[in-house]
Amino acid sequence: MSPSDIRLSVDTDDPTPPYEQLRRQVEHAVRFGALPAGHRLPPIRHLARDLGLAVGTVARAYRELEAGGLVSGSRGGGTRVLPAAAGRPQDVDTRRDQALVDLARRYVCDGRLVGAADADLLHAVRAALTATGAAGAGQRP
Amino acid sequence: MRFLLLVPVLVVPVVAVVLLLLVASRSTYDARIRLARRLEGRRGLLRLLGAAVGGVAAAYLVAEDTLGLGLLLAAPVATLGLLLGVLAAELVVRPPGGARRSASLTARSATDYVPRRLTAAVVTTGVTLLVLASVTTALGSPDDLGRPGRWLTRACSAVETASRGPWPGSYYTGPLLVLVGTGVLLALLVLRTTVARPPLLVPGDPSGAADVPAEAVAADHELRAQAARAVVAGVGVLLALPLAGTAVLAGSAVGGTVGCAPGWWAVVAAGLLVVAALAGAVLVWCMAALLLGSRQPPLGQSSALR
Repeated sequence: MSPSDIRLSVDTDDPTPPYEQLRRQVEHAVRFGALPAGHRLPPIRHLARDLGLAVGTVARAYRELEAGGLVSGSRGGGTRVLPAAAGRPQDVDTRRDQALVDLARRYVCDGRLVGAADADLLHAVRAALTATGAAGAGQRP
Repeated sequence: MRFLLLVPVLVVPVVAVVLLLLVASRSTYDARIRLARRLEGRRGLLRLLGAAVGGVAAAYLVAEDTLGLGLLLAAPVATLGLLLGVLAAELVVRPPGGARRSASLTARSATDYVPRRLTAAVVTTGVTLLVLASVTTALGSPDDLGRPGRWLTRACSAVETASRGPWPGSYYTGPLLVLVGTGVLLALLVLRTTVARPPLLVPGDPSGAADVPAEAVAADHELRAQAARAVVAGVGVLLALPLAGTAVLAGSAVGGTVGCAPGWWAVVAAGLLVVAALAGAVLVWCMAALLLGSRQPPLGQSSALR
């Protein structure tokens, strides 16, 4: 999956504040190597317009990412992913595999809570993959 | 006589609109183009409206022409209308309003959308116009009624002078450069707006939901590229037509019978006519990009999507 295939999503009905949703997703994308070092994030105003959020909300997410040592912002150069943020490639692969297992477990648990059978869970995953396109199918950065 | 001058100014926008509609009706070979048209909705009408308003204003200038000034300013005025139409079409895009929203994590910039070779030609045209207009402004002199910058005058001796006009001096270049400068600034504003606007949403899905189909992303990219192409081509018309006019006026004045002109003036005149021809070529290129640009390049094959 290339960085251009990655999409941030925000659910304004979620109890988690939108800035925290953004921060968490960008942090995952950086830590798991989906966003390479030097990748330029969208300008705050662009991302705020695209998501229909206040500029301050996106600015806060970027500030938190900067404070966490994941990105660095400069006037004129935009906000870029820092080289040391992701770590070694082999560590990234291990972390990503572990994160996928955790996410899958959580999905299965949540799915069973709403009464879904295994076939329903698999069908929902396939449908979600189809809906978001086959951009990253079979690839590993 | 003035009615005859009106004919090309009125005919060109009408032919342009008809060709645009023909091209639009034929461009159904790609599902993503159809999706782009659905996403675009009525924004195309705003662009056509802007072009029509510009065309009418240009026609009025030509009809009220005095000493060729209206003719020279008609193209910049028409382009300002076109740019305002594109700007209006970009400004009406609303951000998503549903609970679930999504956005790409890749920064957009104008270079993702502008056609590079056409942009290089347009920039070169602009620089040439600026240099030529500066030189002709500096060399202009008042005409027989004292209007500054309308004639080219050469002192043949201490008591004898020879003049030739019309000359693209300050009488013409002053208002021309103001309009061209306004147009270029407006074009930069439109490009910035095109890049910064939120993505177009699939009709019937006002939420901008997280699961945006890849085709919709590609179609939105193509619509931004179309707007950027229209802006660059519009600026090309804005610059190329006045450059051709300025070069022809200057060339005919320099190559004309300025009594005691040295022989090398004929070479300068020939060079200016070559500049006019090149400006004409850029003009044709820009008109073709404006009228046929929506069919190429194919959707989803731009560098930003690979």
